[in-house]
Amino acid sequence: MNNLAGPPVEGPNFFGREKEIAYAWDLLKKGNHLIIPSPRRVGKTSFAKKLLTIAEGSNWHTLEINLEKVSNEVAFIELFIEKIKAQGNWWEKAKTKGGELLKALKSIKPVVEAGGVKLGVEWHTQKANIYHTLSELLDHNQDTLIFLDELTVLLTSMIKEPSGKDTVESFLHWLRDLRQTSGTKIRWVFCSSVGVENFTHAHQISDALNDVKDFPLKAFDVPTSLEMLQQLEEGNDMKLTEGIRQKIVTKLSYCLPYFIQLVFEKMKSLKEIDGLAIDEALVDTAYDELTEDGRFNTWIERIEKQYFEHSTFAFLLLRHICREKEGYTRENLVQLVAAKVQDTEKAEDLVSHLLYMLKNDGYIVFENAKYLFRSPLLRDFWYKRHVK
Amino acid sequence: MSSEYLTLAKIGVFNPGRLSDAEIESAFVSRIPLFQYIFKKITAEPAGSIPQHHLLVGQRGMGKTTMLMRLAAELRKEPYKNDFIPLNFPEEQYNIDKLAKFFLNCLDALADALDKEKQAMLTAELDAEIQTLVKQQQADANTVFAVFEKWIKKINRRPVLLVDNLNLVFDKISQAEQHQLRAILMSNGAPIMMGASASLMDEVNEYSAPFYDAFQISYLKKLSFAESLDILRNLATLTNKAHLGFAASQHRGRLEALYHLAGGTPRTIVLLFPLIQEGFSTDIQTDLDALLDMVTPLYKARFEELSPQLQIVLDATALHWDPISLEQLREVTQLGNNVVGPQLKRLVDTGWLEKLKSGEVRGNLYELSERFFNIWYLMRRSSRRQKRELYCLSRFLETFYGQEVQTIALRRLACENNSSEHIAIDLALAEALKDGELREKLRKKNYLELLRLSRQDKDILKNFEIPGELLEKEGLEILNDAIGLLYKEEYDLAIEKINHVNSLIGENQLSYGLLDAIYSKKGLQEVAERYSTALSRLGGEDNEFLWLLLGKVNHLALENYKLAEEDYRRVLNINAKNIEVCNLLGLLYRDRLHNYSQAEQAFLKGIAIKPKSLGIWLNLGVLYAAYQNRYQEAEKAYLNAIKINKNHFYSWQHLGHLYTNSLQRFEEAEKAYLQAISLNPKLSSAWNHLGNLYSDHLHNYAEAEKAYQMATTLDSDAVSEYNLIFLYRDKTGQIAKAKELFDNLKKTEELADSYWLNAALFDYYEGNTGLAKNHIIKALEHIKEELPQHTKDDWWRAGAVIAKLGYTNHYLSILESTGHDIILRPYYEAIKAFEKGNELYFNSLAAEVREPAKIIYQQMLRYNKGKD
Repeated sequence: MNNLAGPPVEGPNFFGREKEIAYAWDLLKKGNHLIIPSPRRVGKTSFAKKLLTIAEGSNWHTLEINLEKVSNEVAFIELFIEKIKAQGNWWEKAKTKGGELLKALKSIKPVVEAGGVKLGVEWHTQKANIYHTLSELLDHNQDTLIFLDELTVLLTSMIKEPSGKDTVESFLHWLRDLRQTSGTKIRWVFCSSVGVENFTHAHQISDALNDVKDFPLKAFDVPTSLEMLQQLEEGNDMKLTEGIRQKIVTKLSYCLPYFIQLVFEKMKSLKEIDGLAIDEALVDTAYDELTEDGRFNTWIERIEKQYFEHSTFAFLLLRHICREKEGYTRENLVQLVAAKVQDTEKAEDLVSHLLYMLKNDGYIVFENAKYLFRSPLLRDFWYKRHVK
Repeated sequence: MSSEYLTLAKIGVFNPGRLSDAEIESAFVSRIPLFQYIFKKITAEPAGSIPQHHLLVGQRGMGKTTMLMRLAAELRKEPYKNDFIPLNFPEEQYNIDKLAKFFLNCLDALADALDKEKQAMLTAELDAEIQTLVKQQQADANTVFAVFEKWIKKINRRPVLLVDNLNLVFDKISQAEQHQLRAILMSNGAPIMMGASASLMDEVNEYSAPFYDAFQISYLKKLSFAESLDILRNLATLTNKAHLGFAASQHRGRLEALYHLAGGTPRTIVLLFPLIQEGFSTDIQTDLDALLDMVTPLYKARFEELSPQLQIVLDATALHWDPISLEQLREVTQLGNNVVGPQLKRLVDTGWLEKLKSGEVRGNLYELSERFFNIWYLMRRSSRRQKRELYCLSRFLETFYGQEVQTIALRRLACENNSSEHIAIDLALAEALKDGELREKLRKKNYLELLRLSRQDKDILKNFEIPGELLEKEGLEILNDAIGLLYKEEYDLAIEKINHVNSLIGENQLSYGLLDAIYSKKGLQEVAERYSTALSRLGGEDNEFLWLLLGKVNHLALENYKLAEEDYRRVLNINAKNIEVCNLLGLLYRDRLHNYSQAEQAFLKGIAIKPKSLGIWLNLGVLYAAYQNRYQEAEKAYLNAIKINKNHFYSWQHLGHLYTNSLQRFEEAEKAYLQAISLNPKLSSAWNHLGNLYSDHLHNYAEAEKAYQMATTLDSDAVSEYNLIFLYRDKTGQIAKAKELFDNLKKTEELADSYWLNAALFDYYEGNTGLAKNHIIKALEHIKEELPQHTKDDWWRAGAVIAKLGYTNHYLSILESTGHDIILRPYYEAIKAFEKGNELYFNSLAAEVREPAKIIYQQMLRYNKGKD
C-alpha cells in the first residue's frame, strides 16, 4: 500500500470500508442512487471509484465523470459524450446519435466574454433537443453505474450565469428524469468536495435530489486504523511496533484514512530526512510538526474575518468542542451559549446558525449524534492555541 | 563531479538555472536526504496512477529553485529519463492570465526539455504546434491540455512539472480554472506537480479551495550550522579554495554569527562565501564595508525589481525591524487598507515577508523573512541613524563579533572618530556591550565626539538621539564660548553660538540673557539676574558649571568683579578642585581686583590641584613678572611651564620678555624668542618682541627692521609698525621715512596712547613743545591706573627720547599737571632721574618705587645708548 496523502486512491491502495462498500453496492443493485455527503478528505472519490470497480467486475457499464473539468452545460455534454466514447461497446451502440450530437454542439459557438465562455441564443433554442438526444445515448436496459464527481462545482459555475437558477434547476431535473425513467438499470453516484445538500438547500431546490439516498462515510474504527497502519508499513519499508500504532490511533482518535496517511508520511519523512529513530516519541514529534506548521492560522483568521459579530461565539463553541475528541451534543453546546446570552431561545438560534456555518466551513462534523472537529490535527492545534 | 573548478561568478546565488546538470549536482550538498525522499516518491509513481503531488515551502533563499533544479538533473539521468521528463519553468511566469497559458507554458517547457535532449525533429514539430495554438488566441484550457496530453502519450514519459512560485500561478487563474487544473491533476496518468512556494498559500489551505490538502508538503527548514559549513567547504572545493581552511580558522565564532544572521539561509551563506573565504579583518569598519559591498549589488537589484508601492511597504517593514501590523503600516506609509493589503499579500506570496500571528493586536504581524536583508537595508539607510537602526546594527555586531566585542570596544575607546558613520557604529557597538561601565564610556566618548563634530556641522545631530544631560552640558560649554566672544565684542559669532545652543537644548534663559546683552548694552545689567533665575530652572544651587558661567559673565562681560569673585567662590565651595575657577579667580584678582596675594594663592591652589597646569604656571609667571617684580620666581614659573611642554612657544616668548625687560639677560632673551619663533614661525608677537630686543637692547637695527617687517607681514595690527617708526626715527635717523609711515598709520583704540605719544615725539623733534604737550595729554587720557602692558615700552622709549632731546622738564611738568606723577610714579621718577643726571637719586625713593623706577631708567638709558 502506497503512502498517499491527497489524491484519490485506487486498487491496492484502497483500504478498508469493506462493509460500507458491500452495503452501498447492495443498495445500488437494488435500484438506489447514492450521494456521498461527507466533508473533504474523507475519501468520497476513492469510495465511489471502488464502487465503479465492483460494477465493472459485475459486467456493468461504468462512467466516471469529474465535473470539475467543466463549467457550463455544453462542456458538460461534450465531456459526457467523450466519456461514453471511451467505452468501446457503449459507444458502438450510441455513436450515430452521439456523433450527430457532437456535430450539433460544434455548430453552437460559445460566446467568449470577459467573465468566461457564455452560451448564446442558439444553445437556448436547441437545448431541449440536445438533452433529449443525450438521454438517448443511455441504454436504460443495461446495468450501468455513472459516477458524477464534484457535482457542486459545476452547479456553482452554472448558477453564476444569467438565469443560472433556472439552468441549474433544469439540469438537476434532467438528471432526475433520467433516474426516474421507468425500469431504468442505470444507477447514479454523486460526490462533491463542497456539500451538494448545502447547495440545493441554499437555492431551495432540494427536491431535485430527494430521490437520492445519502451515504455518509465515517472515520475508521480502531482495529481498521491499526490494520491500515500495518498495510502502510509493508509498502513503505517502515516497521512500527504495536505500541506506536496504538499511539497514532489514540492521538488521532478521529481516524480517517487521510489523517493516518498524513501522520505516517510525516513520521517517515522525519526518519528518512532528519534521521530520527522510530519510536513512540516520533509520533509526538510528527504530530507536533503537523499541528504547529502554521497552516492552521488561517482557520483562526477566517473566523475573525468572516463570522463578524458571531466570531466570539464561534470561538466559544470551538474552544469547547476541541476539549473532547468524541465531541459534544447539540444540547450541551446550547447550554454553553445560553449561559452567556441568558436567553435559551436566542442561544438555540445562535447555535443552530453557527453549527451550520462551522460544518460548511469544514471545522466540525456531526457524527454519532455529536459535533466534533472534522480534523484531529485542527482540533489539537485549536486545543494548544486556545485552551492549553 | 566535474573535474573543472567553478568560478565564484558562476555560482549564481539568484539564478541556479545558469548551472549545468553536473554543476548543480556538484554544488548541491545540503538537503540531500530531503532531495532523495522526494525523488524516491516521484520515481516510485506507477505509470497511469493518480499521482501524489508535492509542494516545497520555504522562505526566500532557502533553496527551493535549487532543489527543483537538482530534481530535474536527476530525472534526466538513466534510468529515470525513460519514464519521466522534468519540465522547468521560469521562476515567475509573468505571462499567465488563464489556465490555457499555463498549459501553453507546459508545452514550451516540454519543447525546451526535448531541445535539451537534442531531439531536434520533435522539438521543431512541437514548436510548430505551439505556434498554431498561440495563433488561436481563444484556445481554451482543455484544448491546450489536450495537445499537451497528446504529446505526453507521444513521448510516452510522465512529465514532472517543476513549478517555482506555484502560488503566483494560482493567483493568476480563477477558482473555476483551479478546479479544472485539479481535475486534470487528479486523473490517472496525470503529470506530477512539484511546486514550490515561499509560503503556504491559501489555495492549499482553505477548506473551500480546490487544492485544499491536495499536496504533500515539504518544508525547507533553515540549515544547521554543520550543514552551512558543508556548503562552505564544498564551495571552497568547487572554487579550488579548499586549502584556505576557513572552517578551522580563528574566526569560527564569526562564521557562527554569520550563520545566525543568515538565518540558516543557504543563499545568504553562498552570497557571503567570498568574504568568508578571504578571511575577516580585525577592524569593525572594514568588516562591515566588506559585507555591504558584497551583498549590495544583489540586494539592491532585487529591491529595485519591486514596484514602487511594494517598495514603500517593504521599506516601512524593514525600518520597523520588529514585526509590524497592518494598522501600523497604514500609519507609516499613509496608504489605505485597500492598497496595503494587496501589497502585503504579494510580498508574503513572493517570500519577502513572513506573516506571524499576533498575540496582542488583531490580525497578523509582518517581518522581513530574510533578516540579513533587513540588516543590509538598515545599514544602507546610513543617512538616518535612528535608535532602531543602531539597535539593529548593535544586534548584528553583538552576534558577529561574539566574545570579541569587549576587546573591540576597548580598542575603539582609544580611537578618535571623525565621521558620524564611525560614531554610529561605535554607538551600536556600545549597545552590544554587557560591561555597563565600558558601555557608558564608549557611549559618552562618541556622544562628545558627535557634539564636537556638530560644532562644524549642526545637521549631524538630527540623526542621533543624544541624552539630554550631555546636550545640556554641551549647550553650557558653547555658551561659555559665546561669553568669551561677547567679551571680545565679536557679537555675530557669539549670536551664532547662542543659536547653536538653542538648537541643542531649546531656547533658555541663559541664551536670552546673552542675546539681550548683545543686542543692548544696557541689557548687560540684567543678564546676571536672568542667570540667577535660570539657575533655579537648570539645576540650582549645586550646579557648579552654571555658577562658573555666571562668574564669567560677571567677570568678563559685566565687569561686576566682586560678584564674579562670589560666584567663583561658590564654585569652589561645590567643588574645591575646580582648576578652571582657580585660574579665573587668579586672573580676576591679578588683573581686576589687583589683589596680588590672593591672585598668587588662587594660582598656587590650581597648581597644587594639578601641578602640570601649564596655563596657570604662565599666569603666575606674569603675576610675578609684571605685578610683583618677583623676576626670579617669574623665571621659575616660566621654566616650569616650558618643562611641562617644551614646545609651548608662548612660554618661550614670556621667558624672552622677562629676560629682556626685567632681567636684562639679552642673549638668553634672544635665544628664547628664537626658540618661540622656531616652534611657530608665524608668531608675529615673538617677531615683534625680537625686533624690540634688537632695536632697544642689542642695537642691531638691521635685524630689528627685518623682525618688525616680518611681524607686520604676519599680522596687520599696527604694533610692529609703531616699533618700526621708533626704529627709523630714534635709532636710524630716518625721520622722514618714520613720519611717512606714521602718517599712513591707521589709528586704533587699542594703541591710541602710542599714537599720540609718537605724534608728540615728532613735535619734540621739530621743537614744537606746545603741540607736543597737547598730544601727550591726549596720550595720557588713555592711561588708567598704570601703563598698559602692551604699550609701556613705548612710554619708556618716549621718556628716553624726550630726555635725550632736552625736554625732560617740559615732559615732567605735563605729567605733574595731569596727576600722572602720582599715577605713574615709577615712570615719573625714572624720567626725573634723567633730570637729576644721577642714579643716586633713586636712593631717595621708597623701596617699592625705587626698584621699578630704576629698571625703567636703565631701559631708557639703554634705548638712548644705541642712539649715541
